[in-house]
Amino acid sequence: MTDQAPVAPDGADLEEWLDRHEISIIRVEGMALDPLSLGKQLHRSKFSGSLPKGPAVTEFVFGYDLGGTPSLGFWGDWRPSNLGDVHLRPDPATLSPVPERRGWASCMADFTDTAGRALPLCGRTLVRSLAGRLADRGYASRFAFELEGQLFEESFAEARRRNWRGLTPVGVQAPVAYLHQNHHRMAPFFEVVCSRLDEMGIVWEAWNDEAAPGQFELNLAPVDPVTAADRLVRTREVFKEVAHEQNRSVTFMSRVTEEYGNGLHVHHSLSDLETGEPVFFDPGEEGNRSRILDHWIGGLMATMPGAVSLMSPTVNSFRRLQGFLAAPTHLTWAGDNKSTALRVLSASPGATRVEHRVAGGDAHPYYMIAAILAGGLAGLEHSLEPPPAHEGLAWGLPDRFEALPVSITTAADALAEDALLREQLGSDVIDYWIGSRRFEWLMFHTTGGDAEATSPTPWEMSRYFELL
Amino acid sequence: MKVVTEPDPTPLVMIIAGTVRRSLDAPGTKGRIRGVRGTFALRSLNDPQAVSVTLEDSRVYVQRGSTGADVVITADLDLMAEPDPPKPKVSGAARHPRLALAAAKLLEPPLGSWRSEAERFMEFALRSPDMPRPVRVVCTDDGSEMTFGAVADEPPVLELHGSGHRLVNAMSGSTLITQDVLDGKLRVCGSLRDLSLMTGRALAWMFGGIEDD
Repeated sequence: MTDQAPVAPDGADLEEWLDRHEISIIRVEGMALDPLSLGKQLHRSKFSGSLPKGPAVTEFVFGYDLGGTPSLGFWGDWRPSNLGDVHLRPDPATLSPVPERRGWASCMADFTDTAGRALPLCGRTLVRSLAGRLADRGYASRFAFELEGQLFEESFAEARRRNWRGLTPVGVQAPVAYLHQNHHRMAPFFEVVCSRLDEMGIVWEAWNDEAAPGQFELNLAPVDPVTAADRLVRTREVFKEVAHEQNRSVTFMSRVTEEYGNGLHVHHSLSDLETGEPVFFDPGEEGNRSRILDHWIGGLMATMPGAVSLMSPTVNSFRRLQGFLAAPTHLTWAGDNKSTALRVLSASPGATRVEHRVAGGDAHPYYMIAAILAGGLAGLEHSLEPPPAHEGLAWGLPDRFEALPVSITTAADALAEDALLREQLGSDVIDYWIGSRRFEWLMFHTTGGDAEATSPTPWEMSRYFELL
Repeated sequence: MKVVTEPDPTPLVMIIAGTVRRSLDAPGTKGRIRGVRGTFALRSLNDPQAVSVTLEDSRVYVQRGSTGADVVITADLDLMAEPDPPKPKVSGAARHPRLALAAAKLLEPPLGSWRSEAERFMEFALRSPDMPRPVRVVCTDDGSEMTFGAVADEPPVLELHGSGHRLVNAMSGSTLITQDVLDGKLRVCGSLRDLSLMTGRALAWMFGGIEDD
């Protein structure tokens, strides 16, 4: 908690910034346990008056699942015992005009208790805390997301009416990528999306179609980890909003059809906090990998089976992590090899980075980055060495290679056993997350999901398509 | 006989494995199914849930699905614990009568009084430090009650009220306490925190009472 005057973007005075942008309504946004943006619209006077605590929302946002069922069977003592309030503490530095709504601004927020103390389960707070611990070691990190999703001709209402079956993907029905015919057909959608991202200051680098029906990829520019996750939250919202306005539908479910799934790869690198120089590159070491990078990889590899859960929130997430679907299936890393879980690129100082390829389009961006920072920090703190780089294709491997968890339950089990992630993230986070994922498993099996299905079920489409 | 589940079992697999274990512990059951071999399946009438139970020489193997089962029982899983449940549909019993009888025996373990079932559940539940305590269970048939996990003169943090029949179902794991509360079959007095933590223990009990550690 601070008594300092709130500071708007670029260090501006808050009221001056709101005046300059003629803002009368502020949308306060936070992300609880599932990867949904939640919050309230506040009148400007209420927004300013609520600072620094921000608006109250029910703590039940951490207590129910995507189907609206109370998630019972576990608890966190940071929760009020009987449906009390928590707060969404705005971060005024993230204020951004909402392009399609004149007079509106959006502001990202952290969850706190009623006394203003951070909630341990708030992913945004968690990422900031881990980035702070990295800063204590003298490093800054940058993350750049590659977001994949799928665009359909039908509106959400029409898709719902059809029970999410028989939808028409936007684009040519051919399993090839980078096709300009597809870009032409997707352009009316992406022109609006990209224009809004520009207006919100979200720097995007490229977009293109991908190989599954209606599939696309959007690349965001590298930024600090909290900003990267904030921007991913806002970007997914922009996609949903534009789709709704154009009577189309879009989803970031990890697997929608029998074809390739939707990934959320993230490239990341470390630099020296004072000089800004990259620290992953060392031309004197094998593969140009600095000792720091090797320890970072060592930590990511040691924690990857547990981290899969934090990167794969739904039953559907695991339909993507299967052989020959362009997603990783085994605990592997290598250089420029897109079949491994980690792809380590180290050709030059500025371009040296790690691409983490496990998460799907439905991932919780804060938990996903938290898992990466936690793994990397564990590697640095314990001087962990990476196993040998994988040679060859990393799909269809025999049993002597360690497979990644294949289901929401086995991933939760792996996380429960991960002492390093527990050390870095804390038991409050680990145990509550595991409880919530086991509840998702329970809901799948007991409310209509088909345990024997090998492709996305109606239960998954109904639960995830529109929300995620 | 050892009861073994498939890797990464479904909830129904875990529930039925627990049910079969309890049946096998009952006097006389092992003798009645001795020599019976084959697979029976239980399928949900209302959703895709299904489980197969294979009787082998030295073990019972429980896994998801019903494909290839010799005897298939299709039932409304939500109503199985009701006082007069609808009769399940059974196929294959004519060709495999002994297997069908074994299935009936294994899927319906003898249950005790609400008191004995509550004692069994609470003995298990209170092994976890997370389980709220003390808990009072009140039978609304006659107003009789039991208190578990008593700490000196502390009042109960949770009370469960219900008919003897409902309490037997809930305490034996035949139904989930919380679902019964949500359905109005049981009444509860306590905090959301304590209800949630008791639900965790009730689920673990329903899944066979096997501890994580």
